[in-house]
Amino acid sequence: MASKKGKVLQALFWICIFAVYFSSELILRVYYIYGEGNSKEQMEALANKLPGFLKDSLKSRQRLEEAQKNLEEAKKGADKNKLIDAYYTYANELANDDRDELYKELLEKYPKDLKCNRAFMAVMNAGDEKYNLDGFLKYIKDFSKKDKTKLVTQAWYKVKNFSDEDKKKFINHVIAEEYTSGEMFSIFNEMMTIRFNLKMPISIEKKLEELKAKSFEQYKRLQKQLLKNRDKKN
Amino acid sequence: MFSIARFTILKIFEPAFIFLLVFGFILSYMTSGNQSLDLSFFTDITNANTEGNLDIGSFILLMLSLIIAIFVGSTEIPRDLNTRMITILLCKPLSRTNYVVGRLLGTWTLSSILFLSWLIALGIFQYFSMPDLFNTKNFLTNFTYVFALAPVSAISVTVSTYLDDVPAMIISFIIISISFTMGSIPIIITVIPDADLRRLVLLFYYLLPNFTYLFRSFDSVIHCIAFITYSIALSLMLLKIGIIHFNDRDLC
Repeated sequence: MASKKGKVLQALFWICIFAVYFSSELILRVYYIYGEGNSKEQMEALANKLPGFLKDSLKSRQRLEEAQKNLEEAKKGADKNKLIDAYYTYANELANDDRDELYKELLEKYPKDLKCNRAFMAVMNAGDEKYNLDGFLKYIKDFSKKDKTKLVTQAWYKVKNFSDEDKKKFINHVIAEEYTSGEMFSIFNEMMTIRFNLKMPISIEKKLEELKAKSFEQYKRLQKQLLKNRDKKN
Repeated sequence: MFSIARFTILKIFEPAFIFLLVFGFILSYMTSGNQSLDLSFFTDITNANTEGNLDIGSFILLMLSLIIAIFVGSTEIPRDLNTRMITILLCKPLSRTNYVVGRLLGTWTLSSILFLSWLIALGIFQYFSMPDLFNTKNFLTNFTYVFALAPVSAISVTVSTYLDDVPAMIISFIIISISFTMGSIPIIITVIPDADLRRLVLLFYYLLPNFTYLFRSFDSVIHCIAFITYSIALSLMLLKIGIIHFNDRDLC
């Protein structure tokens, strides 16, 4: 019995020693690395002394911490644009999964804001319950035609990897809304190929041809404008 | 246990240690005019408070005390084993654990007595020769470095339970030298992006004491207490390794 008690006491003693060791080491380490107060300057100085691969890693960590801090501050304020920018800056420093979580948080806050389009495009996925093609069509519903066209152009690069049903739905939406723009010109070729593969009616092909021709005209105008601008600069 | 410790401490009356004591006093006098010590070669990586509390005099004296702790700690147990003194000692009502703990206490106390004597002498010399350079707070803070001698003694005693005196001294020197370079590990840990790799480096880091902490100024009481508890906890853990081995060891 005494031996058992002794063992228990010994175990407790060692648990205490380990706890003291790790906690005191942690305190010393924090003092050692961050000092008191002027940690930012110290970390800057530290970064400049490290080899390249460690310097990049440390800098990215610093950027991450700064972006997180800015986001926390922006959340306390009332400036919507500042908050959205802070979300994007912080998201840029995160890994893909964490980034998507953050984008979803942003979209929950501002589900109808045009500035959140980048976040929507990032999280849009065929398998997602909310941020799928239907969600996208709902999201762009109230925007201007110009904004819608831009977003549809961006969305195509994701939707073309979705299911056949989604692709059909998207093409039908493009035709119904008659989106045309210089940037969409090349997309129509892809849509026509997909229409053929999915055995969609020939009338859709004709409509796509029509929209493509219109887009081509806009594309030519866009190119002319670009050349003009370049000449002006020269 | 305390008899064993006393047995080690009494070595201070041996001619070699009296000579060392006198040599330390001379060193204290010679270095009492130098105040600031740039220890940036240990702490430059963080660029923070690189000067620490130690001036050149106390730094040299601390190093000398560390060497004595290594020397005494590494030689006592192997000598007892080689001369069969251990069999006489263990015939008494004394466990092997108490014997090892006693040796550690003795080594630590002996090196601490030498260090404190030199430190007080250094303070006196500084105060009388260059009173404007004398800093009471730094002088008093330097006394806490006695706790830095504990892990060094523990390493030496633990290694000496495994090896003979000369190899034990060499290995102790190597381990302690490596421990002086451990300061870069906490920095590296902060910048390693991979969590698994971070844990692996941290595991290696925990296996050795970080003596770079000795060369930082104490910013607050918490910092000072953390340093003392770190030294004691580390010494106990190292000592336990030595005790476990010594209890299982064939002493013949």
